[in-house]
Amino acid sequence: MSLQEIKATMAKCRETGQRFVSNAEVKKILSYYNIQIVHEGVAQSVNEVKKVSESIGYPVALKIISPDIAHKTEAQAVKLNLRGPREIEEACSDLLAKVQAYKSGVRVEGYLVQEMVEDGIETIIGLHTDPTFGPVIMFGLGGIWVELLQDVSFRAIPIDWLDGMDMVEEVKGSRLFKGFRGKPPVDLKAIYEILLSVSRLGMELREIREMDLNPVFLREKGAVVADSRILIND
Amino acid sequence: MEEARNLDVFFYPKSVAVIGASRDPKKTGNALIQNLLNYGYQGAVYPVNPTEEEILGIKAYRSIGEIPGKVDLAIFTVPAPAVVKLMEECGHKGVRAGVVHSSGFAEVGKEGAQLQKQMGEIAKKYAIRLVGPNCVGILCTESRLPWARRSTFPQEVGNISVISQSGGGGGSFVNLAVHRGICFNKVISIGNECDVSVIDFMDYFRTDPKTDIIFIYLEGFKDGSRFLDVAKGLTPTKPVIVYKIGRTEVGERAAASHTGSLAGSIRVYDGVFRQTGVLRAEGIDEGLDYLVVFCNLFFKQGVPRGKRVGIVSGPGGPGVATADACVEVGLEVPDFSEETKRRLVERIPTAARANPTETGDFGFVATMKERDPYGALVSIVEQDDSVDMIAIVGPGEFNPEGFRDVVLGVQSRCKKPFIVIWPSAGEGVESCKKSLEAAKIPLFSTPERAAKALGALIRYQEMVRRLEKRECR
Repeated sequence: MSLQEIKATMAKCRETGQRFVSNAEVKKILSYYNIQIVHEGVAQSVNEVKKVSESIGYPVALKIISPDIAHKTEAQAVKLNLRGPREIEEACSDLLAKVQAYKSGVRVEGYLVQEMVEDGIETIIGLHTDPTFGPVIMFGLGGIWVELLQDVSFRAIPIDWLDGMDMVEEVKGSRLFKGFRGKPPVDLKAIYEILLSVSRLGMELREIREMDLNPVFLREKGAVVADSRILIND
Repeated sequence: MEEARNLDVFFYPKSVAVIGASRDPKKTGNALIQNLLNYGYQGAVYPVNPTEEEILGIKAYRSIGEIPGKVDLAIFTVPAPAVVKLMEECGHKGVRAGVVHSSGFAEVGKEGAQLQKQMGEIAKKYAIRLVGPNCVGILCTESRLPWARRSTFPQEVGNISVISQSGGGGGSFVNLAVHRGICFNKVISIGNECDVSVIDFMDYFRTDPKTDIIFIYLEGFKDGSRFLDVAKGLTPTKPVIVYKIGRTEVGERAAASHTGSLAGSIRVYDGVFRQTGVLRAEGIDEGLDYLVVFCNLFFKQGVPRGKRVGIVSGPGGPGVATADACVEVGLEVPDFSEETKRRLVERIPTAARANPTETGDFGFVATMKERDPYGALVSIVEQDDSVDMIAIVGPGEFNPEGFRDVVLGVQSRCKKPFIVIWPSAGEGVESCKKSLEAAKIPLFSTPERAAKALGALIRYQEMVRRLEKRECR
């Protein structure tokens, strides 16, 4: 995918009044900027889910794809750590029931099957258009901790490597990254690289109003995005 | 750069016309004339009033056109619609700049915004630069150009300049600062920023030889991306301290992402400030303390080479409290060298050998001046290589004159930067504190406030080092 094609996709979203870029397109955008995402595949049926899971390798995480669900954890649209076909079957029917209960008439576009990332620290990397400073980048502790701890730092973009280092240092929980209780330190270089890529993405794609990469798993080697969403300007 | 220097006329006008000058002491047009006469402004003053012959003993003019000489600066205190009309006349007269005190412009709604736009267009047509509207004016201690406030008049010329988006807030800040012995160079109440903005003045101060430190009383920047460029060019040589109000405002619309919902204004501001080397003071007190430490320590005594503090105290508890406060803000309180320890007790047998050291004998207080325990201990501590700066912690309220004289003595001899913490009050103490402030000694009344200010100084140096490191790459 080229930058031009990405921009065309976004323009199309805008025309059709779609606020969020679809999951498939987000994946392409991230890969254009060399941002690594977890191994994943989309499936339409329980059988397909099993097939995809086998090709990714158990255990897997399973999520419902729906344009009506913004926060998947809140809608209980996520199942983690599924270890075999039996568990997949149960999980699929349970997920459908849960999201129907969350919002009646919810549109379900399929299942997202992802490699289960069990190691690493959950962080968030985001973009936002600030009314004063224009596009800004955010880094912080992610996953379910985002709202509770609000341990984040911001910079106006573009940023450089040193800004990236400062952003990470500024987060109170950054001590976690250096290794604790026998856990190895995370790959800091990989965080800085993603931050720089997101900065470049934000500069080139001004159509984006807000973006969350959450969680981004920081691991001993590398960092990988497990979930993401892009909201475009009206 | 040339563009920025054009703003000189706002601070050093050779002549000032007050449009809306008045005999009524309740009016701004009266206060301004009075201030121009009393504050010592040396240029020509032209009151303009359509019906008066003279105001406060000086000749008044019915219109700007009737003024015989050139007019550099026109100050407007007439109602908004009249300003718009008179701006044209100013253009014909060749006025170079205007300060519009009048309210009734963009701050009151659509109609006012229209007036403001009109006024701005006329000014632009005649190349008149404008500050305001809706402000309390500009003050310059060098040229003795006064603003329109009735109380606060910094007498001494200093190296700090202030830009305030709040007329009232900036005014009270200056007032508080003056009573703390802080000296200013230029103070601007910027108002609605219809032409010259906060960022324009920041840029101006970058090359203003009289300004070393910039303090901004901030509501919000209009042009954030330009702020980034200007601030980065400014902070490595001139510390910028911001007091930001509107810290808790809630976003206008509900955000659709975590990032959006966390991007409350102050978090983004804080990020950008760190990115540009700007220090944010968390309160007015902190703002005042930062100014004291930058003005009286950083620019007068010299830049501390590191963050290691040697503490010399009279009383024991406050010395330890100072050590705590220093460590809590990230400063270091290192152990003294063996040589220092030996010399301390050799000189004063009751002294503590540790950092903080203390005199250890209250008998000293009565004979402070004669025996000068503070001076003795400071002179030993300052020679210790492990100490970058010294904090002197004063005694209680007994014999304040003795302590004052001792500190003045230290000031004349001490080679390392030092501050004084004097956690005491009372009439005698207050007047001695005033003398120390007048002597430009960085003085604080509590360990915590002192430590926070020193911490800011160190933070500033670290931010600047990072900015410079970037430049080199």
